[in-house]
Amino acid sequence: MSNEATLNKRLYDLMSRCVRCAQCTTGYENTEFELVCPIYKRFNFFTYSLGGIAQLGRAVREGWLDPTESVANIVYNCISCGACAEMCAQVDFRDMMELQHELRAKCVEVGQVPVAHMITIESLKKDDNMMQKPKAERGKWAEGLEVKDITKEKAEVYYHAGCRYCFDEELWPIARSAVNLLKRAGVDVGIAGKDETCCGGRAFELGYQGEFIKYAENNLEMLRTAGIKTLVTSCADGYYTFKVLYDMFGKRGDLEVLHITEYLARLIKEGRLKLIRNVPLTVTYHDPCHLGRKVEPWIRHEGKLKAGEIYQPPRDILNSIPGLKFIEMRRIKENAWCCGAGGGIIDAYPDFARWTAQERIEEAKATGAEVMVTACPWCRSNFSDALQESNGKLKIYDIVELVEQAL
Amino acid sequence: MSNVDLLYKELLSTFPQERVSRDQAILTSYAMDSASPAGIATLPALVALPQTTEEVRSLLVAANRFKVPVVPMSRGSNLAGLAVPHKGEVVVDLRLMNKIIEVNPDAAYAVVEPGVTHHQLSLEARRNGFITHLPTATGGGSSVANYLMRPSGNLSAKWDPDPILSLEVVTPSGDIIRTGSASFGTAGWRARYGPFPDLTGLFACSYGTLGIVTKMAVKLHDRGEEERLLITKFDSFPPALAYMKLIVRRNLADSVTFWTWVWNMFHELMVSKSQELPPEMMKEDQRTPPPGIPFGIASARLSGYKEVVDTQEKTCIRLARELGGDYIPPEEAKARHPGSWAYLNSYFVDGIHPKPGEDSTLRAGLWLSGCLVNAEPSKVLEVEQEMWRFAEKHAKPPYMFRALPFNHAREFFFAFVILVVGSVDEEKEYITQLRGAYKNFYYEFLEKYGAIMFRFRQDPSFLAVTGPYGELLRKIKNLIDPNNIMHPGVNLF
Repeated sequence: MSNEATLNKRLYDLMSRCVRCAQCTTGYENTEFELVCPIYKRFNFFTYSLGGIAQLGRAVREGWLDPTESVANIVYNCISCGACAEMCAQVDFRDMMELQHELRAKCVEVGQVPVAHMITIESLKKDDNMMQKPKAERGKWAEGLEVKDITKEKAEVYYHAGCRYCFDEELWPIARSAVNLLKRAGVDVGIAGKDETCCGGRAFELGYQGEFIKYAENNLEMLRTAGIKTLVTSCADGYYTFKVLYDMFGKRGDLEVLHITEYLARLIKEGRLKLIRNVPLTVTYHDPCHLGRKVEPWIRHEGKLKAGEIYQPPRDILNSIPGLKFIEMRRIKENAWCCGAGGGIIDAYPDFARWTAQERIEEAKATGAEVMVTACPWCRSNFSDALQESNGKLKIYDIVELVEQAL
Repeated sequence: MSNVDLLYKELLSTFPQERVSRDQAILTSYAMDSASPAGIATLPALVALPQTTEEVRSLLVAANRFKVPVVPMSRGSNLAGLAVPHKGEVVVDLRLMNKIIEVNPDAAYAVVEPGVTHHQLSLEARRNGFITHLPTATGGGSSVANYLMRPSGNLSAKWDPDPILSLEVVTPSGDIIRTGSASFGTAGWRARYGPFPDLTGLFACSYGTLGIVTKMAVKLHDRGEEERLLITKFDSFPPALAYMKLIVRRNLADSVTFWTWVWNMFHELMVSKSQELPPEMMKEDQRTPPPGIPFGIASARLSGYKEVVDTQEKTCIRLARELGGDYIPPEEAKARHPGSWAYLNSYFVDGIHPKPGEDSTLRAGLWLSGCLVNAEPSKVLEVEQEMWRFAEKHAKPPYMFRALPFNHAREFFFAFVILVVGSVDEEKEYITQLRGAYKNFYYEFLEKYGAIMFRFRQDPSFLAVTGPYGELLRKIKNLIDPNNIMHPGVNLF
């Protein structure tokens, strides 16, 4: 095999110091140290953990383990939810992501990539989206929506729907509601419709850095041309990509990136959106990884502790809806159990994605809630799919759906 | 077919496929720990994840029949290579045997499996009004494994350093033995000693060479109405040692530990999460702290009724002052040393490892096990001086020690640790040189100061020092494990 270093020296040093404590698999004391790492809980061997993957990286770097199909299987089964990095005493999220990215890039280099990912990436290259749908259908979600097209006219705020909202017909009403809510609050908002492209974040997570950079540059060029200073998105993955990944690669510039929950919470607080109708539901909230620890630790690495995570805005929104009863699950915020859709799992290992979602559904049911609310299209879809296999009465809503009900 | 092939085939008939693996990628994380030198690792032949005592039994019987050696691993968080294979053994990973089987608040004990972590046990104990023994290692480690090697920690003075009552052990022949009161079946797990010789002790410090411990009854200790951390400071070690002896002999504290200034600075790193060491820690003269910082602090756990604790605290402060030390009030400690305060409170008062714990200090370097010995109080000062001389000759800063009365105040546990800063790769030569310098270390300490190795360091000759005692142990080993399948690579026998 090639002796080309897979882990950079800094990472290699960190990984060499893993003491195999497996704390990367559990939550904090307030969760009673319950397991928070889906891959570890599913597969049990220590190798299926941050510590274990660190040992894989160490072995590959030291040259006594090839990046075989088995290695790729472990590396690609990691959901990239970041729970491990929150818990590990030694590494932060950036280290974990760097480790995973370097190992995945190595797998890409030697052709050890899940077939499903190859199909996804080919489709991305051809149709600029992660959903394997024709490019031409991208703008259909917004047909008939009276909203500015930023490629033709100026707008203060750009609403980026993201691949899932654009191509998953079931989710179209949510994206349309989001735009309507912004308009109702008097926000000068525009979309890119058929000219919107993927943010590239998923390509980065799968190990295709070149594709990621291409999309980052294309998106930012479009926004520069349109004179956009503020981007709002309902897609949690997109939020993470624009806010964190673009920044990591020095691409974001002074673009303000907001998740729809942040913006709506702000509009509600300012009185520009008034929630007046009773929504008599008992709900619990699922923290998407891309709005929580995947954002927060990056900021921490820069010395700005807990400045980027979006834990409070969705809770503020839920608490401001009349008649709604909000109950927390045990594993929340930085200790939240992932929905199972991230890191390319939903494409390559759908059974594992549903297994992971099922665990969260059971946790939500245990609170007595009738609805689990989330703020990410990937979480919502994965939960919806998993619920079809479950007998319970739990419903899944996007938070935007509840805000609309309360107007 | 090789013996390993035959064993694998047999295991597949008793274990679900997802709990036994020969996949090289999966085996990788079982091949090394942080003590393994860069580039040196031995893959196990296979790894199995039993969930029950019966599964452990069937595995050991099969391994014995095919003469395939095994390495038991409770959680694997070991810094000294005690749970890694040496020549392609089967790793028996016990992490799925993670149940707390019983908590008996009346008789103050709990029965746990080897996969139970310190975190799990200490939380459960706290829920029931108890505190348990903790090492200064990670909360993700196995209580059973740690107790079998003797915990180094938070309760080892007033109570006693041995938290084990009785055991369930599976031997290579497939016998399931229960020791202590548990041997009688109906008597429960409450007692270590009965009318017969103590077999619990045989399996303690045997490092998996005699069988696999599948259950352990551990002592729980009442938390008291009041629990308090008392910090005193000293400008040198001798008065601190005198202080520790006094307060332990007179039952003023549950335990007390002396930490040098460098160690305390490490505790600060837990709060900052910095990957950079403060420059003061790297100074050449490690014996002298930077201005304004005491040479070391003694942290004591006090517990009991409030009135008693108030009096104990007052008396401890008086004794410290009489010996030239002084008291650090909690407000001052919290403000000036938030990391130390947080860590010491978690460790001594909450009885739960903080997270991130002391292991977070590893971000800044490789923690070499260094010198861990137990010695008589009168010899500890000489051990300390010898260690400084050793470090000044062989090591680069930072280095540090902590000491505590371990067996009441009859002996002291002394841990001198060297931290290797920087790249593990680049410091490979330095690490090798240090390991070489350690080679005769324990023999010299034994000869000069009567100081005994705290944990076995894989030196096959060390047991011979004990003469007939070691010979008898070898005979017992041969009787229990005639095919020598139990962790032969650890070189105990």
